[in-house]
Amino acid sequence: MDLIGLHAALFVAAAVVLVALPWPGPVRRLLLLAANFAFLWSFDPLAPAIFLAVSLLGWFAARRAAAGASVLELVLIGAPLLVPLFLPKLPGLGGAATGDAAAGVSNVVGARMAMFIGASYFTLRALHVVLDARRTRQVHLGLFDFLVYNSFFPMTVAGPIERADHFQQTYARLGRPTRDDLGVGVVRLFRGLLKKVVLGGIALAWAAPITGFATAAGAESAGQAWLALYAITLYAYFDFAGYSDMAIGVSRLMGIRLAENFDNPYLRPSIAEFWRGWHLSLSFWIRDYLFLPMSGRSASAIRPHVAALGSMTLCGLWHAPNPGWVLWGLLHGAGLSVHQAWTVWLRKRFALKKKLASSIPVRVVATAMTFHFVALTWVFVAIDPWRLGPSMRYLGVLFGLS
Amino acid sequence: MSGAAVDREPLRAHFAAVIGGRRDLLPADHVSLVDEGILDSFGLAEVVALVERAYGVKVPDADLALKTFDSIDKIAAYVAARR
Repeated sequence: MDLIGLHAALFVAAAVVLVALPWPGPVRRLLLLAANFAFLWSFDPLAPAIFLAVSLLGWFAARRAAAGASVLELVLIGAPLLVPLFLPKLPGLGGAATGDAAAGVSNVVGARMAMFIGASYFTLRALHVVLDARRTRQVHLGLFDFLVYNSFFPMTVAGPIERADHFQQTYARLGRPTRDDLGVGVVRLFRGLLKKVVLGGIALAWAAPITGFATAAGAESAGQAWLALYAITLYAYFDFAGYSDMAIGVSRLMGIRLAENFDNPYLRPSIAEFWRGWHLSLSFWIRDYLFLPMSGRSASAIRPHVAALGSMTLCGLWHAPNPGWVLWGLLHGAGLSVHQAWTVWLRKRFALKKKLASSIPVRVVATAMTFHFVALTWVFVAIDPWRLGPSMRYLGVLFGLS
Repeated sequence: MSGAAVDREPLRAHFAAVIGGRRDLLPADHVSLVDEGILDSFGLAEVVALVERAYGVKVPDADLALKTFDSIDKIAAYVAARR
């Protein structure tokens, strides 16, 4: 069960009313935890057990990290957490799953698969708590509240990878939404449904020449191929941003404010700006726990470029360990690297990049270029991420080479 | 800690170099370097290296964030607090 459909609507309504009843605080949180576990169980009877194993391990590692445990000890404790991040996405286990919007691009995601994707989200949240504990020497949530946070059902299927400290800011208001919360929650819920079900559905229908390219009659002309590419690019946004809207809306109905996960990513004038608008909770995770530590404290101008390539490749691997997603990550890392080199040149040449970037014609051209770059990277995961051949043939059709 | 006693010359020299040596275009010390397009995640490692080298301050992982180094005033205050 995700947040769509009659069963989901009934579940959400029941959960919202249940936590809003005048219970003492601990009872309200216990009821929410029970609802979260029921939601997990609806995917797979094993899901609650997997969640508990990951969360208890993460909690123990976080406590050890806060106590100053060595890196070696944390790696030994935390290594099993890598299993739900990657293993379920291998063929034959979870299937050739993808981690976000493009999940639906080439796969019909079954209930068990969706649970496994959810597993990679609650694992990333657990890892975030461990890594923050190592930095700050504190664990901000007690075990019970950590379990409530990490299993919070609106975030189960597709994130966001809400930060624990941000979740905690409104946690005390659980079950006591303001009139404003209820209004905003309902609007966000229906906006999400509109994006995911209506607009996403229309876009996916137009994307048939690319989604069916490897197995059925696909695009035969460049015009058809470009139209399908635009459609799948819009579908990726409507599907994933729509689901994030719904997660934010349902949470808001319970008084919890989740952080925004999307902010007009396709209207951004650079690839760096794109990542300040696309899947923000993952983008921040990658920046804070992979890119910045990899960049280190180096005066070398090269090292951040290596860090960008490395961290984005890992981001691709997280989506699914297959050639398509790895290439997708490499391309985004290379895009970030090239954009940075361009930025450095602009700064030296024009002193303040900001003045040039405020020019409307420059912004229009840059936004169109960024949109097309991002769209072209979707080719490698939209057709068959396990084989690059069909993607390369599709690029040939796009550019009139075959 | 205000950072008033911290010598800001190494910081100004670094950020002036980032914009092609144009000291006349360097924003005031309180202005956000991120908003001005002078500092971003890629440039953060160089700034952290500069702070550690020029001021002998150890920057822990927890402080590796743009908000810590977003202006010359903030960097000076950080250095003063860590010394």
